[in-house]
Amino acid sequence: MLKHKTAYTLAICILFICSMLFVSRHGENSRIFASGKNVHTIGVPEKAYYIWKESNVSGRTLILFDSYPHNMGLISYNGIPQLTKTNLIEYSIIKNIIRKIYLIVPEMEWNDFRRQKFIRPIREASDLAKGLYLYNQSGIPLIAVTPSTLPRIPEESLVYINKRLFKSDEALGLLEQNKISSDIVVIFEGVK
Amino acid sequence: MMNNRAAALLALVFLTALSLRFYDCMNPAYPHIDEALIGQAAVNYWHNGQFEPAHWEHPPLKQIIPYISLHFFGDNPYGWRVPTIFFGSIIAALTFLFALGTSGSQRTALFAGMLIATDPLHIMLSRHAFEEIYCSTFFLAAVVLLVWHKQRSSWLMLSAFCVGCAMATKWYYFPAWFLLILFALYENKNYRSPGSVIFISSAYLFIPLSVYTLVFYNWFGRGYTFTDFIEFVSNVFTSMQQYTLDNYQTGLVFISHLSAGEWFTSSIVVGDGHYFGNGTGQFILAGNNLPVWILTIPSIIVLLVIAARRKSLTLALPSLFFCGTYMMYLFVKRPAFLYSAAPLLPYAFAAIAYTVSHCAERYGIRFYYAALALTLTWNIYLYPLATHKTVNVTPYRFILKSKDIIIR
Repeated sequence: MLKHKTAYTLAICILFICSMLFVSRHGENSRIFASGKNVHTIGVPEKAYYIWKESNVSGRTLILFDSYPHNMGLISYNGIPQLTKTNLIEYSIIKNIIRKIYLIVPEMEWNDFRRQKFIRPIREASDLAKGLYLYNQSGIPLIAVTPSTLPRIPEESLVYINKRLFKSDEALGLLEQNKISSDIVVIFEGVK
Repeated sequence: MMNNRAAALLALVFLTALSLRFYDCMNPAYPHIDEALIGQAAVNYWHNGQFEPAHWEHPPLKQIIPYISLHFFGDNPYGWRVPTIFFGSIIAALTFLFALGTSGSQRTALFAGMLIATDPLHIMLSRHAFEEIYCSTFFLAAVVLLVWHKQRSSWLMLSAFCVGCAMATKWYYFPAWFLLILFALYENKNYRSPGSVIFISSAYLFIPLSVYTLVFYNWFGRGYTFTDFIEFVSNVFTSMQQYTLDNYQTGLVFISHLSAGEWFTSSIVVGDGHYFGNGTGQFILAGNNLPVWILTIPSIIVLLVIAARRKSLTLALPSLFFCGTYMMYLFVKRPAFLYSAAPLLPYAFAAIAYTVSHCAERYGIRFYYAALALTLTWNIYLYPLATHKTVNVTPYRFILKSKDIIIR
């Protein structure tokens, strides 16, 4: 006959609940937001990293109005990774600024995007009509969505808009429409 | 069952396993296969909560254990290899206890323990930091604690903790985890008592889930919550099933054999090495030791038949855990490399040991000792090829002609 079953069962259930709460709280406490709402216009992509770094943000969701892929990993570098013109996203992941990405794909390009050979879908995002989890070396959730299926995000997000590919007014309008707030919006418009 | 003689045999098995794994473990002094990445992956997980350069689909206990070792021994062969040498020796002792607990025979236990203590593949994996060694040790510890618990609730909880550690290293034992719960419910007719059912179910579900979640503490430190964790685990589950050969380094010696169906039926010898030109060479070979392993499937069947005749679920455990784990390898879509056979070996060897002991009852004790001597002699003969010793290649030429050995 097993002894102290009731007491042990209770202790196990409490342990389980406490574990979930403990790690969740640890995660939430690790997110760092910037004060106020800031909009920056930049000429080179890597400037975005310095803006985020100076604002001391960490553990954040990024809404990315840009193109894919962002699939380099640590193993792609010879030695310590350095920030370059092409690795802003990967570098910011390595530095733990970004923990999750919503990659916005224009509505008209969605079907073509899905057929691209350079993407490796992991699975459909079941809660979104057009949403696709994409494989990346770091394993962070990278979700491709169309503007119409971008979900409401219950936390302030970082926003990066490549003005060469997206109209910034439309992108900001989409965020407002979805009631998504952002503490830092970076608009890349290239060197004039 | 556990008397002074059994304790002495247990010590013999453990010390044999430890000696064979620890002796000259600095050789080679350079990193072999994934050892080059162990330090970087362990430090990156501990400090940044990130998995690279390891695969992000693998749970992070495999980074935490090396991190502790590297902290004490440094980023060198000792730091890489000491944990798996230790765990690989422990598993030999656990195999002894498992075989003793399921068969009640010290001879069976000794045979099973010595098989794993001297198995060339297990020695090679133990000496080169393969995480399969951690997870199989944890899971076998869980099984042994369950078999030996004698109605002690604390042992069952410790067993569940070990299941959590196994799952937090690799997912090999996912089906076997449920077999373990069913066995815990079945034995002593625990399923008849609602209190016992709730206790056993909650212990074997919530303790492993808690352990599994807590080892991700550093990952949560990147800003993730439990909701993100569920999303992440769903991605892991889906991504792992999409693995193809392209996901592995092209230089990996194991990629020439991708099917688990071969492991116990045809000869596999992979590895690398070099010749010195004077008839000698050094090699680190991983093979399925077919003269011994080929007995696995017949032994699993024999054990199941005998267990059914005796109506003993405990006696059937080696076969059940073997089948539960092996089925997953056989039906999974992704490549199954030979090193993934390590988690099956304790159950395979326990079944072989039981069959040999059973035959010895019919053909006499000399049969048992002859089988033991023959097996150990064969395994010791292969030992230098698995451990980078300088060998005269002539006695090994029929093994070294394998096209899957990369000569560097």
